[in-house]
Amino acid sequence: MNAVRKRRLMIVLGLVALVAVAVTLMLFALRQNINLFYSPEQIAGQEAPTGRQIRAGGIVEKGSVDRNQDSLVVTFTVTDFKARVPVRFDGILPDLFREGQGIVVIGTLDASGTLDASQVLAKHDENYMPKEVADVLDKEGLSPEDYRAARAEGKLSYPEADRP
Amino acid sequence: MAFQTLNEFLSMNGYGVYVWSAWAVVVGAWGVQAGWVHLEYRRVRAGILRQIRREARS
Amino acid sequence: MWQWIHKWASPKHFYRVSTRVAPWLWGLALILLTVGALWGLAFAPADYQQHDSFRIIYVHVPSAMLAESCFALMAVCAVVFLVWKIKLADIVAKVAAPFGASMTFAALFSGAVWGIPTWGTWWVWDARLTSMLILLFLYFGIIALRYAFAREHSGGRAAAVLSLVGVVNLPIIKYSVEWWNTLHQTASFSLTKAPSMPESMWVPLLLMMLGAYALFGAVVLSRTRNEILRREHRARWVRALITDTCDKEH
Repeated sequence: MNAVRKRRLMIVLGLVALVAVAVTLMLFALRQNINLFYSPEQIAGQEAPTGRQIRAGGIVEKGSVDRNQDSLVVTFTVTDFKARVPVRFDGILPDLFREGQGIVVIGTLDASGTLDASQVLAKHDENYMPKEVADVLDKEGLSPEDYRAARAEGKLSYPEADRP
Repeated sequence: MAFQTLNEFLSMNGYGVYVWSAWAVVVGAWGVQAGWVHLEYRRVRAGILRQIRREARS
Repeated sequence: MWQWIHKWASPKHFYRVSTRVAPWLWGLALILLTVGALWGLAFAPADYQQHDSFRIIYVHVPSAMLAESCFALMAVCAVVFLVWKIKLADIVAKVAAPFGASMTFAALFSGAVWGIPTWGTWWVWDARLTSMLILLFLYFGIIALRYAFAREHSGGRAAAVLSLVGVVNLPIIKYSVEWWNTLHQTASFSLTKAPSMPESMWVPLLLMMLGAYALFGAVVLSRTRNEILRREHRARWVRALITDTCDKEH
């Protein structure tokens, strides 16, 4: 490679490096604002403001969903297995909402620490499974989450039902 | 086959609007890109032919 | 080595070799995409939670991957063009940009439509969605910048610099779902770990992805050929070639 090209290559690589450093610093400075939601642990640690609209994300705790018989009001707890946030919501829940589901709640924290939600979004994970497989697992008394945990450790392969 | 009837396939068990509109836009984008290539070739070729003829006349 | 590269970078040589490759790429793309689409739409099982809306994955993931790969290709071309002044690299970067922009739009659109039934919203300002939107604007900027100059060469250089600046957005898109809390899930498909879905679901996805890459190759290759003809329209070999196609017709 001749000297001119070498110099041009250095300029080009220098430009990319410079931009990368600038963007990294910017993202680092803004890191809390880029996060879409606060985790229950952050809320318990008083990192989230009260009386202002915030977003909280976590898992709907098993056995915590309580639907009011007369209205759409539903209460449940969002957890990250380190801390818990009680949520109260008056509206229509997305199709994917159920216990054990990851969700993002938009609402305001009241003085008692309850999140008064105006919108509930379902957060889907990257795992997919045919209904037949989920049914087979259900018969064996396993949830898809248990099953995935076992599979991640290399103990299980998918049941026969999924073979087309 | 994941569907029993044609109707079930078209309605996607209630998700038809979402599935078909997403597929239409993506497959449409592929189609437009592929079609563009051939139109562009015809245009470039016609342009060069025009120039050859013009130069032959002068 | 250098001789080999310069031979390849010569438009005439590239045109001659690509004449034989292009039809195969188009054919491969058509077959893979047709089989993948039928399989994904009609034969793959529905997801136990998302039901049939899951089938959007078969167009969403390939278009998102192409959007990013296309930008990566443009960045590589930018380095080659800026450092070695190889014109072919500028041509490839030029013709790839509209394809990448349309794929970014397709990924954003299919993702928004998918979000309505699954998330309960079509848009949130999370890191993945926002960085993808920035990618779309980068594409628009690169395309516009190229035409903002009177001289083709200057436009190409400006566009190359912007694609190098924009390339830092690619790792941000890829790792956004791991670095920050996002509504978007992490990747289902990667080179290093087993897919997070059974065979009956990922095989059609793989076909769609390979088909999309074949189409990407076919479009970029064929449009590069068109652009070579346009730029080299004074060359004797181009004139001979065009008159030849004309004779065949009559």
